[in-house]
Amino acid sequence: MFLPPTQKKELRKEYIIRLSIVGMCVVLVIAISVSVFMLPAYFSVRSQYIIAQSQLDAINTKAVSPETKEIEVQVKAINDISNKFYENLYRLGIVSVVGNITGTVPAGIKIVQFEYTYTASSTVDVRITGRADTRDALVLFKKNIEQKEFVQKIELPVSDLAKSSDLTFQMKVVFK
Amino acid sequence: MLTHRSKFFAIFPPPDVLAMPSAGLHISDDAIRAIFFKKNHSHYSVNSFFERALPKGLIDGGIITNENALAQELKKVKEKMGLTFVRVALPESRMYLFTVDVPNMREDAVRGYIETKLEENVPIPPAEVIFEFDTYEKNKISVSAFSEKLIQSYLSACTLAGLTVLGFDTEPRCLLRALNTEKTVLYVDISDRNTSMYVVSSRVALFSSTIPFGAEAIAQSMSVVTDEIGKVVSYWNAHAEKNSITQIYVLGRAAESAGFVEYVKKTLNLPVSIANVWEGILEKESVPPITRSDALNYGVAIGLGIKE
Repeated sequence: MFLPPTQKKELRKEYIIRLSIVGMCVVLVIAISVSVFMLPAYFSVRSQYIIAQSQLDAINTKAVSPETKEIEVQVKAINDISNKFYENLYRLGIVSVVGNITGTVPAGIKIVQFEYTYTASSTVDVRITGRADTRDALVLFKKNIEQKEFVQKIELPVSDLAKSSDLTFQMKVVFK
Repeated sequence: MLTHRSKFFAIFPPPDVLAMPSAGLHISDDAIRAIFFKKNHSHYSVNSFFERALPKGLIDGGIITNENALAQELKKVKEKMGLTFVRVALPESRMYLFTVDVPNMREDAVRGYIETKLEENVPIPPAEVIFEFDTYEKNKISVSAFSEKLIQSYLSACTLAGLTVLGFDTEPRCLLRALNTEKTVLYVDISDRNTSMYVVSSRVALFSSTIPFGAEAIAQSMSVVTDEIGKVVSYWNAHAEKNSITQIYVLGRAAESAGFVEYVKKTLNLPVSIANVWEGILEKESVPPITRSDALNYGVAIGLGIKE
């Protein structure tokens, strides 16, 4: 009312400052009241957690009795055995290795010896010693083995292929 | 009738820090009168009041002659009452009051329309005028205008005294807030050195006049002031198409001068009574802390003090 524009601006500014202060106070009061109201709920939840934790500890303590310990040792032993069993189950056995290789032997190849070895990296190395009538038969034999999906690599010394007939060879087959 | 907004704030009043409760401050030629109310639901109670006489010539016909000296006087009132925010009445003698017929237009366009009428009604450049208006009939408004320079001088005196002015108002509007009437009446406010007269209809001041005779003149001869009142009544009744003055209310300490009211009544042949400045403000049973005769001087300050 009848106020010059500058004074109106001043009053508006003052009012906004006061409004902001009141707003901040309201927020502060709400925050404090919420904290105060939530405090009993917090303590209740906290005590329930502590009780549950102590109950769990008590159960664990009871479980570690001498009988339970013995059972645990037995269970561990059973687990170890079954682990080994399953480990070997998935490895290539000697029978299947021999079966797979002999299935690929072409005419003109005679196998004299199989040497079957487990390696530390859980692969299987097989050394095959034998005689080949011709070089082509030996190359074909090598190719046949290579085509098997479980074969990782074949090592055949070049010197074994030096002669064209009546060859003696020793190859190393690494299975996956 | 209370609006939804006022109903809401009646139930949930804003904190003082936002409401900025203010005192009514009436600075007249002869004294500073301040009153501070406390609101209790729909009624008020007087918290504090103070009157301080001003040296002659400090305010002359509503014009402040020495802002610093007035600021010193205001500072004393401020210290006495512990005031921060005030609403101040502007002197009627420096007010330009005129009525304007407004064509049908949007409410927000009325102010612009009045600005075009300022030049023919106010003898100062429109850019230097600050005005407010009240509607008293359909398409009829009463405009109160002051020079910005005058308002600035009252504002700087208050600012120098450390008071924050929340608003200015005219003396008749303040009185109308304090006094309750819908009829066309004449208010005669007698101070020590002058007398202000306001013709009021439908709670809007339509005419005002100030004469340089007040309580001091009445003490010597009642006829001087009574004749001036008679002139205003005759002028108004002759020019008013309708709404003739039906009642005269007298305010100011001099209103209780022995035989004055009876003298005016007899001379002008109109009902004359002393205004009740507390009507509708204080609770009926409550006793105001100001004496009846002193309260008559506080009419304007009371009207300012109850403004929210």
